[in-house]
Formats: sequence, C-alpha cells, structure tokens
Amino acid sequence: MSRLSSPTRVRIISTARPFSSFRFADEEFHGTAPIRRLFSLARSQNAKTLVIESVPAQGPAKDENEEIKRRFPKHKMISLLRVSFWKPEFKTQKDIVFLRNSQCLGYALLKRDAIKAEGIDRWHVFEAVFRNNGHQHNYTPAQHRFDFRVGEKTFTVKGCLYAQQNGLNKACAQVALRSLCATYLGDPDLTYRQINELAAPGETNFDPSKGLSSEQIAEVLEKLDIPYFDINYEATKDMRKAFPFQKIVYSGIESGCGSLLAFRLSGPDAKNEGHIIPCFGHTFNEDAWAPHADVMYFTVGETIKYVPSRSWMSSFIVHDDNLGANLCIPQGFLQNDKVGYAVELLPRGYVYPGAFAELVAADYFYSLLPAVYTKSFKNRWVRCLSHYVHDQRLILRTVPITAQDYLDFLGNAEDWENNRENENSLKDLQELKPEKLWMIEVSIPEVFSTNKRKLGEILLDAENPLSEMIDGASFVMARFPECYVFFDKVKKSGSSSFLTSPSSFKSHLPLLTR
Amino acid sequence: MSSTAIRYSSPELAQKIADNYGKPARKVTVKMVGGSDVSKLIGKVKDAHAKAKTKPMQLD
Repeated sequence: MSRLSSPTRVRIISTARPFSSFRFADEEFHGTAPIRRLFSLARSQNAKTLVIESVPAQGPAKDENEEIKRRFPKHKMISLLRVSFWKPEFKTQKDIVFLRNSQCLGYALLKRDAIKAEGIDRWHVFEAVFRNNGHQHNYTPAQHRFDFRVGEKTFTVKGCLYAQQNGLNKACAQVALRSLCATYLGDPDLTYRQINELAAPGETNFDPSKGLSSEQIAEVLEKLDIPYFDINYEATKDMRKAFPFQKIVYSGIESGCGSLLAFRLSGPDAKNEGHIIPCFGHTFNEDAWAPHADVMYFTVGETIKYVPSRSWMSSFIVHDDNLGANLCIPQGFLQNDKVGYAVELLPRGYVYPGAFAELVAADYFYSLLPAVYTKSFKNRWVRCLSHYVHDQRLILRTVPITAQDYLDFLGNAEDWENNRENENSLKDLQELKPEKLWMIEVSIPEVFSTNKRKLGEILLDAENPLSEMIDGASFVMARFPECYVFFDKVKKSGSSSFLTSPSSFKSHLPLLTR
Repeated sequence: MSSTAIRYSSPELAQKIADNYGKPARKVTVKMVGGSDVSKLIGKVKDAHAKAKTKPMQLD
C-alpha cells in the first residue's frame, strides 16, 4: 500500500515564512479546497517542514486505478504523492530517522487522475490522517492509529481517516463510508472496490460516480459486520422532533465509533440529491449558555426530562469531502427538516444504541434516587442530587465501558475529599457481569461542566436486548454517593425491590475520559 | 414492551459489600415513574428504525 511504499523521489521543503501554503497548493495541486485545508491544518499547528514523496500506486490506490480503468479505459494516474507535515525544522533525508511520532501532524496521499477524452485532469486527497488540532474544547473519541512511511522509517499518527471523492469511482457516500469504516476497523486498506461491490453486488448498471443510497450504505455496514443504528428521517418525518439527529450522531461519537449524517443542501443551486459526512468528534464548552437557560431539556412523555451532556457541545467535528478535514459544524446549523439520514456505529458486541440506554437510565435515576435516600441522609451531595431529581434537571452522559474497565476506574478513583473505595468491596465487585456495558453517568450543573465530575452512574447490560421494564433484565448496578444499588426481585404487586450497600465514595468522581 | 427474565439479581453481592461495613444490605421498593412514556418513545424509535430502508435517500 502506498502509505507504506518506498518512495521513488523525496523533496523536503521548509514551510517557515515566507513559504505560502496557499500559493504552493495552487501551483502544485491546482488549489483544490480539501488540499488547501490540509495545509491550513498543518499551518495552524506550526508545521515547519513538509516532506513530499513520489510513491507507486499500491494497495487501495492501485485497486482504485483498476476500478477506474474498467469504466474509463483511457484513465491514467499522472502522479501519487505522499505528503507529511512536521513540527521540527529539518533539511535532509538523513534527518528523517531522528523524527518521532509526536512530531508528526499528519500525512496525506494526493492523487492526480486524468482522462483526456473526458477533459479530466485533477488532484484529490486519496486519504489523509491528521491529528486532533489540540484545541482545548475539541474532543475526538472516534480515532485510530494509522501507520505511514517517510523515507525509510515508519511512523504512526492518530486520527480519523479523511478521503475525498473524485467523481469517477466514488462520491461522498463511498468516501464517508471509507473514512468511518477504515477508522472503526483500523483498516486503511479498505478499498472503494470492496465498498462498491458490497453496495451493489452483481449490478452491471451500477455507476459508483453517482454515489450510494442510504439503503446501500446500510448494506455495506451489514456486510462489513459493523453494528449500527440508523434512522431515515425522510421515511419517518415525525422522528425529527421526537428523536432528533443530534441524539444519534452524538451517541455514535461518544461511543468512540463515529456517525454518518446525511442532509439536503439548501439554496438556489442545491441539487436534489443529498450529501453525507462522517462525524467523529465534538466540542465541549464548559461556559455554554443553553444548559443554564433551560432550553436544552430532553423530555420523555410527560414524566421525565433531563439535560443531555451534548447541551455543552457547540459543534460536531466532521470531515466534508468537498470542503476538507477536521471541520466543526454547529449542532444547530443543520435544520432538522434538511437532515434525511443519520447512522451511529455501535461498539462490537453492543446490540442497542446508547441513546436508548440513556432513556431507560433516566427512568431509573428518577425512580431509584428518591427511594434509596431517606430524608435523614446527611450527605450534602445526596441533598444536591435529590434537589436536581425533584427539579428533573439531572445531567446524563452515556458511554460504553467493559466491566473490567469499570472496576479499574473504581479502583483508581478518589472522591473530592480523596476517599478511595473499600479494597474488599473492589474484590467483591470482580463478580460483575456482563463484559459489555452502557454506563450512564449522572451529574449536576457546574460539577459536570466545570469539574468534569459526576455523582454516580447506572450500568446497563449492552450485550442483550434492552428491557425498559424494571425487571432486572438490563439493570446491572448503580452507584451513588455512599451507596451501591443492586436488583433484588420483582414483587407480586408489580413493583420491584432493590438492595443497597455502602460505598466509601462520599462525593463526586471524575467522568470517564479516553 | 414485554418484560424479560431477571438476569442481574445480586442479593449475595449486595450483602457481601454490606458485610465489609458490618451492616445488612438495605431493601428498598421502587416504582418506575416514567415506564410507559419511555417504552412508548423507544417503541416509536424502533419502528422508525425498522423503516430505515424505505424511501432511500441518494447520496452523492
């Protein structure tokens, strides 16, 4: 594969002033927006050196050339360059061996395809992986480490793979799928031929340049054995309000798997077809106004309302194959009636989406907490929690976790007063099952947004279908200040009993971070 | 939504942890406050998910 190929020619270029990225991208690559964007990402992170290598088409790039040639026999790949951006200043190939992964900002494979008879001669970003720009408010949970080579040395960069369409064998749908699936699977060698063959098996009239339908996207995910949850808002318009796309997209991002979002463009020149983009991160603004102003509630019927953690999010972090990599799109920018399709990828072995777990957990929080804590309880954090239960202003955040990771978390955690959990309790909790859990963290304003801490969590079984009933089928356990809660039994009257046991944690613990 | 079997009843674990503090596990009775509303919404979203392949959207 060209990421790891031995180069046939190497150029090392200083990007210090007066080097102009804009001019360079124009002169060398016909100035396409996504290529300019790569240079901007590098500039914004103080790239000092650019390495440009000519590489042969191998792996997915070679496969693409064969696929294009079948449709356009006169196709010619004019050039394939591997471009990498570096923080240190260096001048010779001998210096490359001394570079470290931490000094790399990203790499890209830039490909120039020509079909003279069709008047086509253009560059595009075949693939690129750039690290998170390091902004304080940016979080990118859906990432993977990708290997690439420079000179004779192999490096690794962590990010979400970006890819651009070429209008020949791939459109936005195929590149969005390759971007997210390659990142999810940790397989940058996923080819467009594979995607197209999975989407339209045996269809001789299939034209990949026209993209894929939402149905074909789902087919590809199924055949790649990637669990997912999707809603087609064009088929079920009432869902736009009842279960807005932001819930699905955010859930996929928080689970570390990523999401796909399809929408129709507006404006006089907008085409009838939709556009789809991969979403892999989000911003988190602790100073956000909306959650304080009571405008970010999520309500379930007339009985439950809560503040989802995405209330502190301004933007999703996405790739747009037309515009470039690692861009922020405000969560309120896309009008709900323009969004047609949303997909969240689920972690392996998880059989229902985190958004469902959050709804059921909301019910558990509001039902359990008043029963668990009597008025005689003196703990001030319990009083705070009870206050926000009464006002229905609990903040909920849903993340996947394994039983072992949860036990490790408890074993390492300290509450605000530096209390640690009882060692014997930690040993007893080793019995915890199943392995794959949804953890719904509960917090209250300020403790959540400023301290990034929580007052407890509920664990739900993620390996088996969700039960919305209070029957012990999905509820594994809960933890709140000074107590654990376990399911006991369903009574004949239809109500259920739970058992509470003490915990040494008296106040708040850190939220789960990756 | 139909209920499924109890899978994670853990009275022994609750008691073991309580024993570490020399106390009995305390029993509390709970009634779900939002059961039918939650079931209704999840049912509605599941129905919508089942229709995801109808009226497919072309994405290019």
